[in-house]
Amino acid sequence: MSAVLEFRGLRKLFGKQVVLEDINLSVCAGEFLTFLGPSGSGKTTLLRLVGGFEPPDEGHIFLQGEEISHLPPHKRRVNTVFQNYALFPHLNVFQNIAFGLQNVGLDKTEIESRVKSVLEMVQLIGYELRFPGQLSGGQQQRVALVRALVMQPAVLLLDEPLGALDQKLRKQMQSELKALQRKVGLTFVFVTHDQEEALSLSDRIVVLNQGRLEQVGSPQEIYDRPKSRFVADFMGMQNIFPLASLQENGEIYRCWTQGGQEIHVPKANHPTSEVHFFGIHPAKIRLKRTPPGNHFDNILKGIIRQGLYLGSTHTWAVEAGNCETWMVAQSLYDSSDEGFSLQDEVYLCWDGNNGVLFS
Amino acid sequence: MIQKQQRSYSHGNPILWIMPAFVWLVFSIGLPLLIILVFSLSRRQTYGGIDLRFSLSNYLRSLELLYGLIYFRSLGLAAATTLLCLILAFPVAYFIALQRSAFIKNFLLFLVTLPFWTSFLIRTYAWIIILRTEGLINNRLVEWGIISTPLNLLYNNFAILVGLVYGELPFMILPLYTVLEKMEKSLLEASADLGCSPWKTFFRVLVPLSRSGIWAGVILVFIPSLGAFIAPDLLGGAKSMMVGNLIQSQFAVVRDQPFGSAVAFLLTVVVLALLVISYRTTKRSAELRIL
Repeated sequence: MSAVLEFRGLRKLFGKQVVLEDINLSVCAGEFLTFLGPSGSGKTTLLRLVGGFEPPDEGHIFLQGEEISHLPPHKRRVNTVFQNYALFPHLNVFQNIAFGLQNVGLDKTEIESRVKSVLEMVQLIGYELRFPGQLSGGQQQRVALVRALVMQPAVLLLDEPLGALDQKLRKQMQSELKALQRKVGLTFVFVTHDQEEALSLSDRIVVLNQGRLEQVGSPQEIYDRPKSRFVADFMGMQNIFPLASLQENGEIYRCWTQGGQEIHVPKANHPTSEVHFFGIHPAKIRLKRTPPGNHFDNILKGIIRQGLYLGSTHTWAVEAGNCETWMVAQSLYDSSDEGFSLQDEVYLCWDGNNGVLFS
Repeated sequence: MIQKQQRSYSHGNPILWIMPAFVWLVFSIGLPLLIILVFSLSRRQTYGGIDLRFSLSNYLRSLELLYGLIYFRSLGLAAATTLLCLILAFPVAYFIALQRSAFIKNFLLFLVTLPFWTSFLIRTYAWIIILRTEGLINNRLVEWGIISTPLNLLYNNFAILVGLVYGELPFMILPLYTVLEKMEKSLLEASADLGCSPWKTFFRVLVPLSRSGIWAGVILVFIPSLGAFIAPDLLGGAKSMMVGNLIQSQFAVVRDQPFGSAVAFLLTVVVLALLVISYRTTKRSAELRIL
């Protein structure tokens, strides 16, 4: 795939504070790429650099092979969906969407047909004459989206566009957004701090931490194979234990947590880099009342100390080994799992592949 | 029950709260206006007294060509003042509104209002010192060899315009600042994002969104400029009388109070008419927005 957007050695300072450093990345044409990170990680600044609202201090940005690092926003073939929508309050829905098309110099009938086609896309036909103040949050969000989409930009930038919506509407807009992206085939660069949102929407996720690229990969890679403690933690990996020691043993690593538990992890997934932590997602551990025999590579004995009922899952805090607490998420719809209660003695089991080692 | 509770939150009868303002308005504006109306419909006695017999002669006289010229000059100068203030105030208000630091914002606003600490009369005298033939500007220009004979900067329409613009500028800056400060700054980014150059953004986003502030500023500057008295009196020449000076001279110099009253009343009516028109137009644009 060809790169539509490229960052080379990008660096950005606010005063003396480094906001972005050493950003090297290619965005492929037609992909849905997400910048994921906590607030202050530089993800929005990176997006604003692409939009042209901030200049980089060092490095270059290329759009379709042309350098745009210092081009003003109105000369870049990218468009932004702003976090607060930034709809023009003095213009109605039609005028808002036509705003950018008028700058391109299209004739009236062409503008009308294009506005109509994008309004159809988001089911807002009939709302042309409404003003932004008369729309619901979800409707405003859709108008902001198509106002940028209608420009057919080389890259569409979305700055936490769903942040202001309530949970239910947010889920709905997520699937709409994904469907829309598939349909129009444009390159989307999306910014969010919500890891679930990033997982469900993206083709590729870029995790940012303190202005640096922490990890770039598919949602599965980021979720299942975090390369650092930061990524693991940010992706909701609740079981992270520092390692006391590590041995190579044929095809597997034998590691010991500081609590003294022995854990086996296949070598294949962890080539050369230094590792300091072991981690596993709570949902990847099974709970058994009796020792399950040789079906699993890892079996730990523990006692249930706390339980948290979450509707579709039940999360248990299990004390194992030397005062280490392991979180286990038990699916309540899996009939093979048994019911447990506090102070039960249980066995934690998982396949070696489900655990990860990272730095 | 609910009714009672609401009343306790509304701090008593609202009529009572506007009573002080109402009384003040009646005695300081309503009553004098009524007196002026009565005077304007009376006749002048030989030694300046007022003969209360009804007459329209003052109004007929006020429409004579001689005075028409004064009205025309007043309207022209007021319009020019308003336009210049608008052009000068917009960048200033925008600059202040864009400041991120609240301290700098407040300091700049303080500077804008600083001139109010001194009487307008004294500040206008200062302009005489700056503009006169042997004044600050002329002396420097001659000294630097840019001109050989001093320019006539004082006692003409130009000097009045300078004085008016100087005096009214804060009244344009402040309402513009208020709307620009409230405006969502990301709208400007959205405009640039959608392909507008900074100039296009100014006319397509900034101006429409600051319309209410522009109207407020225009009214606050135009009306006092139209009836201005100190600036034209001190800075203007014999040939640049404005309607404010005409009225003043009728009362204080010529002692023709009925005629002065008629001109004053006409001025009030014109100002009110302009206010109604501006109210209608802004209201219509607001209604269009809701449609």
